[in-house]
Amino acid sequence: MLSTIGALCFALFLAITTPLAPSPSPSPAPSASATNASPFIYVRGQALAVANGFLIFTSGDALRLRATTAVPPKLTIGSIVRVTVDRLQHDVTLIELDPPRSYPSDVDIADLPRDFIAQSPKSVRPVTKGPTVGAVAAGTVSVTIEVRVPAQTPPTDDVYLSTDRSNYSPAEIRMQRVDARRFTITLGLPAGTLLKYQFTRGNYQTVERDRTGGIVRPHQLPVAPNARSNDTVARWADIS
Amino acid sequence: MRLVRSAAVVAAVLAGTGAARAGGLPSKIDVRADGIDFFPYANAALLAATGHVVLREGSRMLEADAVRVDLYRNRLLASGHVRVLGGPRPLDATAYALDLATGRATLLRASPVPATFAVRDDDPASAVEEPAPADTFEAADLDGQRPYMRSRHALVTPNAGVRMSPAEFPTGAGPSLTLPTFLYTLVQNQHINYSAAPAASFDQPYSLFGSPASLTAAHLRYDGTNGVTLGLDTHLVEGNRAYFVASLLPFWDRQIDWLSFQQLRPGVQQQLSGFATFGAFANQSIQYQLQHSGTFLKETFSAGQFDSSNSGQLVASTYEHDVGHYFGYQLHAGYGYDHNAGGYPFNNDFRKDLGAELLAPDFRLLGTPIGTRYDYDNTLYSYPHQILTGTLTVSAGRAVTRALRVFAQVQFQQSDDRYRDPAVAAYALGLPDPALPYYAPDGTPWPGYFSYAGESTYRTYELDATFQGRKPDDRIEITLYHTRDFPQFHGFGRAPYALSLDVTRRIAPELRVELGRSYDFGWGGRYLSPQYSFSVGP
Repeated sequence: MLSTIGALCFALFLAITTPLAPSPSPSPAPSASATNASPFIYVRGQALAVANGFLIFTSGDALRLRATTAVPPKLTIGSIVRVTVDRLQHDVTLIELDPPRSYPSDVDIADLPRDFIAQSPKSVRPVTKGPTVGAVAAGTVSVTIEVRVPAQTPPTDDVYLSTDRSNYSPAEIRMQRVDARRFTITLGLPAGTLLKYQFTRGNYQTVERDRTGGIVRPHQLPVAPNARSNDTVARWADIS
Repeated sequence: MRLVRSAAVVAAVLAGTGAARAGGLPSKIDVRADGIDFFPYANAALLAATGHVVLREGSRMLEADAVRVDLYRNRLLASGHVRVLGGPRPLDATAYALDLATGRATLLRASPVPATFAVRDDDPASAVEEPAPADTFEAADLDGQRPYMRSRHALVTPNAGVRMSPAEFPTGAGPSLTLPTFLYTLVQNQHINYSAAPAASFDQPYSLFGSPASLTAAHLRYDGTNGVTLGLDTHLVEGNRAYFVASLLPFWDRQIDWLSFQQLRPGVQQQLSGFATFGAFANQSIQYQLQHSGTFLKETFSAGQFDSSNSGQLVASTYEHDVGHYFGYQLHAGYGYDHNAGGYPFNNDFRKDLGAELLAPDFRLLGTPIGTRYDYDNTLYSYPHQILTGTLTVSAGRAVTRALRVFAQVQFQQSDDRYRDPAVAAYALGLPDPALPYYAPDGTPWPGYFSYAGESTYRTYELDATFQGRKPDDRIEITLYHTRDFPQFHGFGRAPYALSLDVTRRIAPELRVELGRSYDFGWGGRYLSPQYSFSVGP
């Protein structure tokens, strides 16, 4: 009964036993650029403005600029900066715009001892925990979305990803089959963004629904390096 | 007519919810600057204006070196030589943050030392120095991110949309595309964007006008059948409870599609949809569906009309059940009615339907998971006619290496289509009289459908290999199909062999292209039937 092609299909599968390639080992951690004994503190933060001899951060904290310190002309709201602060003078001697990496010795502006902060006493707010600098990697990163579809899905139908990036075009990205009920897709997306998406079978009438047939809010995936999402479609709009 | 009236009621209900309600938000915000970039994907819809920024909203006018407007959180942040006019006296600051919904403003002055003040009504006399909340001056780092569009003038309707005039679209592939004006909707509801028109390889919407609950857009489309064409669609939404979408393809397609949905209460929803085509092949169709999902069963009543034929049915189905880890099943049963005005040999016919999907657990053979399912459906008509279909599907998929994934599927479908009288059945179905010799299109004598007494078999073999490139959007997919059907309508029906090749590649940061080439072998008396397909996306 099984034709030659069918036999070949399965023979190919069963013959393949090549193990998955091991994932590459992580790159070595960057070395520290300074120690506690250093006369300087390296501070990271997001710039809000430069005015009246102060560098003001989006946290509301400000550092006094040394008179000779050059301000990068491209500095604007939200720019990530790494500044060198003189421990004795409590002023900024250097501003680096968009530093390519952070070092273990870098201090977030929110964690900097308050005596370095140049601010009116009434405006000082309590120290906040956690970094104020966006820890998001720049550029395009790889994310993977996998979905399990309901049993009633016609076996030969394709499944599509419909995202906010295309205004939810119902046949935007055709997913790859993993097995009878699972599909996957790997995408390159801008890091730090939020991907909103739904699953369809190629048109608006076949969009996913919840278990009771109600509208499903779009799934969300924060785009970070190697982010992964495992989703389930409870039901299709056109199949009860 | 009753269905048409229902459609009108649903549309009216939805239209009634379409009125814009922006709460305490300003109705319009006008922004002009040396450069305005719009970033809709940075976890917020951000408007970033730099250089001689002038912003007007109501009686308030703001000048600054740079301004950010968070269009989802409705917050404004200005920095550098900020001057706010519109209050009793001008307000000067180094930075200024405003919550557009509440009117709460915080300003930061750098002289003599940086200090923050809460201000009411932009009146400098009301400024009270106090610590600012931690996120008051929060701003995303947009360095290195490509804006979706760019302009020198933006008009924002809070919670509804942002219109840029002119609108320049950086493509990342050299020259930018510039349009006289472009409206980007800010409504965070996926149904405001879906189109009811048939899917196309390329579909670029161009928003014309909208509100927090509606959007009307033109569409530039491409599909393999009609080529490049234009469309128009309109959407009305009410949260996640109801929507109405209508699409018009006025040119080659000459078609209207529409779809409405309303959730009456949790677990109960109704849907009304339809289409009409014009020209040489004029058809009209309308479908209504009322669905209830209970604890154990789902019940669906549906009724529809296609030209002069109509039908209705009631179907009850179970949810998908797993029996331990070994077995899964889903059952359904229905009763329906078909009316074919003026039809022969019947005008009215009733049918009973019983079906099941049975799933066996995946088992592993040499490390490869193999899944099996069996689908069964039996329909009995009051006019003696039975359609019985059983389908066995076996599939297996495996990641061979990090770059290669393979999937194979074999499907056997057996169908019995039994009539009491083949001659009457042939007439009813529009087939040739089985008592007379019949010739295929190429002139070959052919014994006819009824030589096999209603039995037919469809066998499908599929092998799919996907090669993933180093970059996530770069991939090649090769799929081979083989079918063996009985009866095989002498070169028609399904092609015995088909091969398709799809190549996906990102050619620019905002442009992904998928090219497809497929071949059907031995279909329609031809050795080869090649077809192209392509799609582009962000």
